[in-house]
Amino acid sequence: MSGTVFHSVYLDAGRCVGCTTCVRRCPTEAIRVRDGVAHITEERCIDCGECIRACPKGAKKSVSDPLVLMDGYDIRVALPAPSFYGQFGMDSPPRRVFDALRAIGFDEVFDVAWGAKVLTDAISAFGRGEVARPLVSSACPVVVRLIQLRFPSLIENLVPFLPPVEVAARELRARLAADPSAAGHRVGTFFISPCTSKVTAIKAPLGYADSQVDAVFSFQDIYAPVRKALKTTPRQARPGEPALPRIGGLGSGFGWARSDGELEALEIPGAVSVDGIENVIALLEAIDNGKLADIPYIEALACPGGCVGGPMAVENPHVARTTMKAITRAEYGAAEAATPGAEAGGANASKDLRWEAEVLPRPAMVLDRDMGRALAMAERLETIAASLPGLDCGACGAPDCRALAEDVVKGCAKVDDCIVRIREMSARAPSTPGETPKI
Amino acid sequence: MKLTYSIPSMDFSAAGKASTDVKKTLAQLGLDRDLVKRIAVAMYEGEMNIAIHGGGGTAEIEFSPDRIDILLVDRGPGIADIALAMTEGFSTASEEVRSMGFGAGMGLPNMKRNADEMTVESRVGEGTSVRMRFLLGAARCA
Ligand SMILES: Nc1ncnc2c1ncn2[C@@H]1O[C@H](COP(=O)(O)OP(=O)(O)OP(=O)(O)O)[C@@H](O)[C@H]1O
Ligand code: SF4
Ligand code: SF4
Ligand SMILES: [Mg+2]
Repeated sequence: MSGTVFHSVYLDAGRCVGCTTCVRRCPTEAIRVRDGVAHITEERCIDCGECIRACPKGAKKSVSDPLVLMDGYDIRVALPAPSFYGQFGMDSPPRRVFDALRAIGFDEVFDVAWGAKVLTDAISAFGRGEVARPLVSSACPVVVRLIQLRFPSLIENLVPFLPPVEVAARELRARLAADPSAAGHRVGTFFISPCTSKVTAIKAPLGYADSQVDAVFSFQDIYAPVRKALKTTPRQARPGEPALPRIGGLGSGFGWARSDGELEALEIPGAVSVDGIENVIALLEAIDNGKLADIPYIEALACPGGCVGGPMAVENPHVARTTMKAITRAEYGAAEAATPGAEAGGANASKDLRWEAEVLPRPAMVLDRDMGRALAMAERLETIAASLPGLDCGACGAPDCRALAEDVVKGCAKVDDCIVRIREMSARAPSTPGETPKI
Repeated sequence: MKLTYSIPSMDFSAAGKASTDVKKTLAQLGLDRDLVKRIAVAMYEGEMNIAIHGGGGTAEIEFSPDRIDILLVDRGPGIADIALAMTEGFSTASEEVRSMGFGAGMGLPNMKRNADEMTVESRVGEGTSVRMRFLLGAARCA
C-alpha cells in the first residue's frame, strides 16, 4: 500500500519464506524474491489475488476498509455484490441476508445486482451498434487492468460502461437525494466485495473519476457477523426512517455473481464465457492475434467460477455457484417492488452508464521511455537470456530466465543471482566462479 | 537486434508461440498499440502458415530504429500461384486443419493488409519466403 498507487493486495513480509511460489503464478510478472523476501512491483500489480491463492504461508494478504468506518454516517447503506448471497447457502435466501445486514448496523441495502441488471439492458443495446468484435466485458476489473498492461490493443474491445457497483451507488444517492426523510443526514455507501481488485477499482477507479462508494468491506470481514445475525430475529424499521425497499426481480443481475451468468442475462447468441486468469489470458491472446472476430461478446472473469471464487470470498466457490444458480432462478420470478423508479432499466440508461474517462494502456513492461535506449536494452536482454540456463527454475527470485535478464538490464538484479549458472561455470572452471558474461 | 525462432511443423500446441514472444519484446519497446496489433496479427498468420503449409521453418525479426522487418522462411512445397494464394478465401487447407479453425484463406491477405510492405517469393518444391516490413512512427494511409 505504500507509494502512489493504491493496491488491495500486499505482502506480510514477516510471514514470507521466499519460496517463490507466488512469483511464478503472477500473471503480470510483478513479483520478485530479493534477499529472501517477496516484493511486488506496484505498477504491474493488477490485484488479481493469484498470489494470495498461491502462497502456502499466508504471506499475501488483502486490505479492505474496517467495519468501524460505518460509525461516521447517519444512514448506512450496504451494497452487497451479487455473489454475497451465495455465501450463506440455500436456507438463507436474499430476503433473510438482507434482514441480517440490517441487524448488524446497516440501515438499508441496495443490491449491486440492480446495477448489473440495468447494465444488462444497456450493454444489449450497445452491442447491437457498430462496435469492435468481440466485445469484452469490463465487469471484472482484473481483466480491464490485464488488458491495459498486457493487451493494450484490446482496450477498444472493452465494454465502455461503469461497473455494476457504481451504477447502483449512483442510483442510490439519487434516490436518497430526492427523499425528504434523508435530508440533512450523512449517507454512507458500503460495497461488500469478494474481490481484491474491486477494492482497488473503488479507490482508484478506471473509466470515471470519483466513486460514489464510501468504503469497501470484504466478505471475510462481514461473514461472521452476518452468519450470527441470520440466527436472530430481524430488527424493525425505526419510525420515520427513509425507506429503500429491497427491489425484487433481480434474477438476471444476480446471475453476474458467477461465470455464465452475465451471458445468460445478456442472451447474445454465440457469446463465449471464460473464467480463471490463465484461461482469460489464452483467450485474450487469441483475440490479439486477430482471431475470434466472429464472436460477438466475451464474458471474462479472472477468478475460477467467477466472482463467487473471489480472493476475499468465504464459502467454497463451487457450493456458492450452485447457491447463486438457485437464487438467480428464484429471483427471476420475483415481483418488482412497487416503489416509483424501482424498476430496473430505463430509456436513457445506457447513455449515463458510459465511461466518463479514457482507459489508457499501462506501459509497465516498457524497458525505457526512449525507444532507442529500450532497443539497446532489449538487445542486451537477449544476450543475457542466451547466457542463462533456460531452466526457468525461479531460484533467482524471478519468474523465469528471461525475466532475470530483464531485471539485469534494468539494473535490478545481477547475472550472478542465477545459482545454476554459477554452478555450471564453477564445474567448468573451478578457479573463477561467478564470472560475468561479456555483454 | 534480431530475434530468431524455429517454427515446428503442424505443432498446434506451440501454435502462436513465436508471435507471443515477439509481442513481449514489442511491449518492452513501448511501441504504439496499433502497430503492436498489426505486427502481432501478421506474425501470427505467417507463423501458422509455416506450421500448417510450409512443413516448419524459421521466423527472423529484425528491429531497427525506424522499422521492424520480419522474414519467414520454410523449405516446404512452395506456392504455385502466388497471386491466387493472396486472394481472400483461397485455401488448400485440409478438412482436419479447417476443423481446428484455420483455412479461411484470410492469412496472406491479412498479412498484406497489416504490413507496410510485403513480398512473397516461392518456388514449387523448394519453399517459400515472406518478407514483411513495418515502419515505425510513419503515418499510415487509410
Ligand atoms: N508457407 C506456405 N507454403 C506453402 N503454401 C502456402 C504457404 N503459405 C500459404 N500457402 C498457400 O496459400 C494458401 C492461402 O494462405 P492463407 O494464409 O491466405 O490461407 P490459409 O492458411 O489457407 O487459411 P487461414 O490463414 O485463413 O487460416 C494456403 O491455403 C496454401 O495453399
Ligand atoms: S509464496 Fe511468495 S509470499 Fe508466500 S512465502 Fe513464498 S515467496 Fe513468500
Ligand atoms: S495480486 Fe496478482 S498481479 Fe498483483 S502481485 Fe499478486 S499475482 Fe501479481
Ligand atoms: Mg494461413
